[in-house]
Amino acid sequence: MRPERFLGTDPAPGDLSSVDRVGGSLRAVVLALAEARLKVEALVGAQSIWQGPIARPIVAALTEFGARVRAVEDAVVDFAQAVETWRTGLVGRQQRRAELTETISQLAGRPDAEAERQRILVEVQQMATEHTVGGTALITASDDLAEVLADVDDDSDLAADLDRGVTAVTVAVDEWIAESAAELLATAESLSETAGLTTVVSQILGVAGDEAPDDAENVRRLASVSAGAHRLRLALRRSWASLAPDELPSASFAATGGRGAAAISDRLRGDTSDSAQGDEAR
Amino acid sequence: MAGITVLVDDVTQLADVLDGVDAEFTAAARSLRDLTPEDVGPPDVAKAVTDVLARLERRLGALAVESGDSARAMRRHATDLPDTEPTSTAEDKP
Repeated sequence: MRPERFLGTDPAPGDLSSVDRVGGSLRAVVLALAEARLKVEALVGAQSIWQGPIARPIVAALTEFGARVRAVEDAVVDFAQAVETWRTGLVGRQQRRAELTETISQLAGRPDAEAERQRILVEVQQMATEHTVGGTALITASDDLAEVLADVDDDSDLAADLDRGVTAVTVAVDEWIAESAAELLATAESLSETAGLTTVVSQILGVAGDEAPDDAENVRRLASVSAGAHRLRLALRRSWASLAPDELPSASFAATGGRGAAAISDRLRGDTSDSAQGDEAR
Repeated sequence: MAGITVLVDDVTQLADVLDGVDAEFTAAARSLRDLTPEDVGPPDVAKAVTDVLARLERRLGALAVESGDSARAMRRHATDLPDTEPTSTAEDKP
């Protein structure tokens, strides 16, 4: 039953199924925005691998991107709520519209029902006004969302920011590796001439070695005073620099020949023949 | 040189996440593309809703492009970084 035919106008135009499709899509958009934002935020959260001053540009770029996504997400949530409010009003008004249309259709041809007909038309007018007010609220919500979308910074360039950030980290890692590799190599070469390095290293690093009981005291002493041990500590635990003795003693420990295991420096060179020989001697 | 290998993994993970974000935005934009909100209400209301949904679709598309570009930039980094610590070598294989 067409309301215009009986009421003179449609006081509550709007297709409910169309509004529902819009509402459903907006819910999907909010979920997508939230999901995307959480993924980005997880990249820079407390458990993030990107920590420290060198990684700060990466964190800043991702944080800024997440904030932009959040701004859009919040604005879409507000707009979705406005659409839901519009839907609720639309359902109520269209239901009342159907009742009024039915009532006034039954008054047709009854001159004595003119007062009732006029009362219905007044209510229809009020409903039209109410519908206009509801529509204005939805237009305002649309404008608010449009404003946020326009305000979201178009000048930001996540790709370029991340590119610069990762480049900086790569350079820093390269430098760190080059620096540490030189220190470790020098340390290994130094230690190879002083003692059974594998045992010493395990002591230095706090890992129990498999040395014979008689050797334990010598190993601990070696680990605490040897020049090589100090250099290895410096390389592996750079903050231990303060533990270095003022004057490092001369390295005068026995060579590793009879102990079976090859020195680390030999292993670094790929020479494991001593170790194999040592294994056979055991 | 384990540090470089780890960095490759970290940058690759970054690219994977950004690819996922790209997919989220792309799907969201697509869900708006087929909407026909021209009859959600009176003409002025329908126009406002139609216009803002089109803007939202464009913004989501722009965010998708930005995420996708970032993922590709990260993959270029991961490719450029030397993988100096292979998990196996020819000698390892029987």
